[in-house]
Amino acid sequence: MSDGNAAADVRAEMLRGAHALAVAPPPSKERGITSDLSVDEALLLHAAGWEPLDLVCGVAVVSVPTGVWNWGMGAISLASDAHDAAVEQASRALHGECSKVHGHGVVGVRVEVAVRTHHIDVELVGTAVRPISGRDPRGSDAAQAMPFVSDFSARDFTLLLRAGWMPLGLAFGASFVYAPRRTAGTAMRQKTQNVELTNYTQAMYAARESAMEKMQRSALDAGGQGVVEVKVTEGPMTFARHAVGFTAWGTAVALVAESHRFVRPEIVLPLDDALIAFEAESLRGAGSKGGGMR
Amino acid sequence: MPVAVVAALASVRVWAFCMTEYLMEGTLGWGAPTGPAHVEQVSKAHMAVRQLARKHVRQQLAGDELHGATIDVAARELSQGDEVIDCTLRGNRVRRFKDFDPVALPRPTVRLA
Repeated sequence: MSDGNAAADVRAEMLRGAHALAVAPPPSKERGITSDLSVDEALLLHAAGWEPLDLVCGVAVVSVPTGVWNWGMGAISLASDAHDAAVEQASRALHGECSKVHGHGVVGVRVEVAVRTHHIDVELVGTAVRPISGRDPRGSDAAQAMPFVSDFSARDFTLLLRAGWMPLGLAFGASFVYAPRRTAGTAMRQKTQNVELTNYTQAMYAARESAMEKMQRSALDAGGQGVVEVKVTEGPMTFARHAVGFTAWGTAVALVAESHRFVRPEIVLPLDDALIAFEAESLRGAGSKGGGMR
Repeated sequence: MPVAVVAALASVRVWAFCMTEYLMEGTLGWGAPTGPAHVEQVSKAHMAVRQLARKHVRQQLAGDELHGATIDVAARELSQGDEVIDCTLRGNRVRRFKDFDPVALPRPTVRLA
């Protein structure tokens, strides 16, 4: 096809599209698709044989009993339990919404976790998807009964599928640990020096170890062989500086093909010139300062 | 074809039960559990406000599709558990005027720049 014909086709397509806008859409009993995917992502998903279905979300608020954040030693297990319960509840709600629209999974899940003094809020928002052909590597019934949840973008999801892997679900781990008080003597000795506060370092390490272990355990429980796209948040709580929190989450994945298929990327070397940035004002001569033509 | 930018708003007011109040302030009131507990009323309100926003936007779509949707939620806490939750859902309304032309699966590349 020549370029001229291609251009004519695009014009014809645009005209068809414009005509389609001029008339009201025919009444349909089907639910219109809603998704938080960009156009690029939606097209990529289609190219991989999947289609978006609906915007789905799951929210859970779980209470944290009073006194949990007071000074203490070791892990703050009640806060960790509250976090786990909130994540589990939100995931269940998300699964429920996905099943309602007959989705096989949810991609692009945005995870928002807010740890407050008396409650932990978890919000999961993503797009339910299903294979266009109805064929799922896990089997259609199994997929609808237990839809996967992943925080992958459509691009990562497509690459993973191509390599023969499937996401299974979100793997979460959170741990909160007290940074124990320094003794009066230690505090006095450290007062005029730049020294490491080992109580904070140790608390951070303890929280990290525990959270990572929980995340790995939750991935294994889901039948995963690994966790990818792991994100972590860490640091002292804003409302209790003596308590250190570490949260880790990612997507548990499992190999569904017979073996891993290596995705060989092609190397691209851009030959265009580097962008030269300059001040637009510099185009004016020195003499035109203040009274130049505008 | 893109049709319009659409937005829908929904607000839900939570009149907290006494148990919700207890749980949201972390106190162990009469009959309240001693450990972490799911605050069902507030969770349901959060789900409801998002569902309402999606329902409202669906009414505007009239069979078209919505892509690039964003959900913004703001909760104004009036007292423990008593709150107003506002949800704004925005996105691009897109109309399909022909069957989907399959796009070839793109080739993965590594950019040396």
